[in-house]
Amino acid sequence: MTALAGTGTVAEASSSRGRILLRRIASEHLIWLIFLLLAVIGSFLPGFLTLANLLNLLWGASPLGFMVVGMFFVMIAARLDLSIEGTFAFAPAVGIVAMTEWPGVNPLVALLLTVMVGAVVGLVNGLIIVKLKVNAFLVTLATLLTLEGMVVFLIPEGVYHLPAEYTWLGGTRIFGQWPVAVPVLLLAFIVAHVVMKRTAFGRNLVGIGNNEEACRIAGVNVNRTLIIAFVLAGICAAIGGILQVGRLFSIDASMGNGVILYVFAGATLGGTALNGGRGSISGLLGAVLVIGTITNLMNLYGVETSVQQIVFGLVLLGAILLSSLQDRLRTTQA
Amino acid sequence: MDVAYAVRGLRKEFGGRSGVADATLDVRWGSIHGIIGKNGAGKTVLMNMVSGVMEPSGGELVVDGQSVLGSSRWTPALARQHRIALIPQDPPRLPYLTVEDYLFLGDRAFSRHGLLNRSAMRRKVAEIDDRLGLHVSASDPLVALPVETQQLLAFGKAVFLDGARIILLDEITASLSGARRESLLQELRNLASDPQARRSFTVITHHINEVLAACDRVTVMRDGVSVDTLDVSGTTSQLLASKIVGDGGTTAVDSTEVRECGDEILRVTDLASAPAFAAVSMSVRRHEVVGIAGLEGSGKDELLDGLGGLRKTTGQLSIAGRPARIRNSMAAHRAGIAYLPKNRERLATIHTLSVLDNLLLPIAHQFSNWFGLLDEKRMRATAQETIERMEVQPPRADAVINSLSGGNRQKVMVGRLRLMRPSLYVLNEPTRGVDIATKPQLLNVVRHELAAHSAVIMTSESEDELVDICDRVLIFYKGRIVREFERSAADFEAGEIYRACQGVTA
Repeated sequence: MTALAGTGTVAEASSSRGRILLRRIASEHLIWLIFLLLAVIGSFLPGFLTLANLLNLLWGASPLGFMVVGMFFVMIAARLDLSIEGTFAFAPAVGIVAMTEWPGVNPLVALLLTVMVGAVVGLVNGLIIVKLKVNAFLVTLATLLTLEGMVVFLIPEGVYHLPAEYTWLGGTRIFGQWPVAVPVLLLAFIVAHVVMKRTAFGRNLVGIGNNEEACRIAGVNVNRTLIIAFVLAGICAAIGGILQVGRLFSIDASMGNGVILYVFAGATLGGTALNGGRGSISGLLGAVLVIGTITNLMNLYGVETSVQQIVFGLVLLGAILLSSLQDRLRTTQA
Repeated sequence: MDVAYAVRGLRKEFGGRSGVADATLDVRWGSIHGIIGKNGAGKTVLMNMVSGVMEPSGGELVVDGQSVLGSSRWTPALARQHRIALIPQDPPRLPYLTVEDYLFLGDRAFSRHGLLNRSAMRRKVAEIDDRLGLHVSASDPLVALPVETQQLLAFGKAVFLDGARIILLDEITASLSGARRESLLQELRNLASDPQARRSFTVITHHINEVLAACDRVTVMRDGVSVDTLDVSGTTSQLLASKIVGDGGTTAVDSTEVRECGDEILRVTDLASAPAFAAVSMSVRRHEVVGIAGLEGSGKDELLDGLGGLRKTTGQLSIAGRPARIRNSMAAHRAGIAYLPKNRERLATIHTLSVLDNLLLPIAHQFSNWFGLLDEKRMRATAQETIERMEVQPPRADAVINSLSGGNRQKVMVGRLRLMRPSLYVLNEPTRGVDIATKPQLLNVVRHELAAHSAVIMTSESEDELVDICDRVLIFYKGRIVREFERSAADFEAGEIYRACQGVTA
């Protein structure tokens, strides 16, 4: 093998190295190129390249960012979790109702409770899927419907006056300019990256997505790993919900309806394979930024909501084509 | 008798590896022709070439006096025009089709004015059902039928509906129960001697007895070469067995000594798993390498799967004196059993991950610090050490496993088991899909490194390999251990072992 590789001239070798680098960028980091392209387009627009606008962009993308990270944990293991859209509203709804109905629950306890509700929903999903060996898509479709019904039951008219402590994470700007949600989001991506790269759990998730049966035979505790992934997805959705409630200073029964489609768009744009085993947190961050930037640009242009959705549909289509192109690039690499 | 099809020097290469190196044989009209040989001898590849599923790399194929290779691509469609049909080992995967819809799939004869003539179709189904003794109804979905019935349906479709004249059966008898096998072979006899239609049957099998009972002539395949074609009336099971095994090259493993065994690692009593095997009792001791030999379907694979936790078993099992119940893979791990499955690509390798990740998969958690983070330095060192010990090429921990050759992948898999430090290794064909140069390396590792601290149970397609590295070889025949060969005994020899696997006595 090495003898064969050594027959090329130096010039050939360096040009092929350049080609390999280009290929690597094209096959793994294309989303960042798209982000750059959008930023260039935006720079012609007055008001885009201002600190306030960029922070707004990130702030607006933070709830979705958490949802995408949550979906990533299950998607990389070749599972899907539709119910995170339900948890997104349900977890804060439980926290807020507890806070307003029971005198003993202060806002901090309510925040904790919210996250725990997310974890419990994930645990229930995970247990049903793993122990009863049922398809994750179908199970979470059912829990999604259940949760959305429960949200309407809990807060039929919504809740519009929330204590500042509960909305601090999602709604506060420090020094009048810096939204707390932005570092929280970035922290989430860093933690997720470390979990995927530097823990046995993260490596096992990727292994399961690639070849579940082989992992099982090799002695990986597949069931436990999957359950943890669903719990993490639930927790991420709950935190995303907290950020969203904080941003809006309120919650209503329809919060988050349809957001799952954007979550899929984000995960796919970020290079996460629908059938598992492949994807990266950095790609995910790029995808969340791209979605945030598109929304931001359209708002700046004053595009109306219906048209915005049309654009997103086309973006998702592009993402699908892109990911199949990436697959082909990757498989022809050898 | 004239020739139905003739194969002259046919060969097939897969990316430099040869599946069939040189096959030459004549198959006559009105006869049943057996093709016998061990796994990997090239039987199935040969049949795939004759039926157009695979395009030959070279050689000549003459069908009914007409040379068919060369002018245009040899495809399944073209083969069908020449009335050739292959009944593959695995039944067609059309689970939710009904028997009727499957049988008439692609058949235009039963439609009138664009609509199907269902009643005529049902009569035909009933006729086929009756002829093959299937007892199925036209509206049964395929998925609800046993595998053997699905195969017989494929056979019925080829012979009675598609009008095939040259019928190739790839180990159809392997999945058939005794009575059905008899009736199918009888049906083949009847069809072959039918004076109204010229037909020819080619039957792949592992079983010498079947060849002797049903075939007119037989071709022996070994290592991709058609070694000989014989008239069945003039041959014996002893002669066939020796032709199938060959003289056997040595695998150059230094293991001639008879060695001392340590304490008892594994004891099983009356282990059973219906319907594959029953009443298996054995004991394996430390430093001992025990081979399990048997034909495909003898139950040996199922026994190893049972020890590895992939299959439910009943009976008693103890590891190092402690009773254990192996309900699943994790239980096997806890008990100290490391299992190498036969199908490496499907059940062992994690294809897109690196050598390091593949090696450390079962033990990754041991590298976590108190914070839950992995110590990458230590992981890398451990992986590198194993890579060097196992002589994996290229010796790079971050190489993607798919970029390695089959032999090197297997070294990684065996390295993975070693890192688990089990008390018992269960290796299901460790040399499967491994190149000739790597085989002795792997066998040396098994004999000298794995058995240095633990006990080993293994299987192999090659009796020579078993003779080279095993201390004992147990023979599986129809789900039971029927014989045991000891290294110290005079009959510890590949030919004897193969004959025992075939159930040949004396």
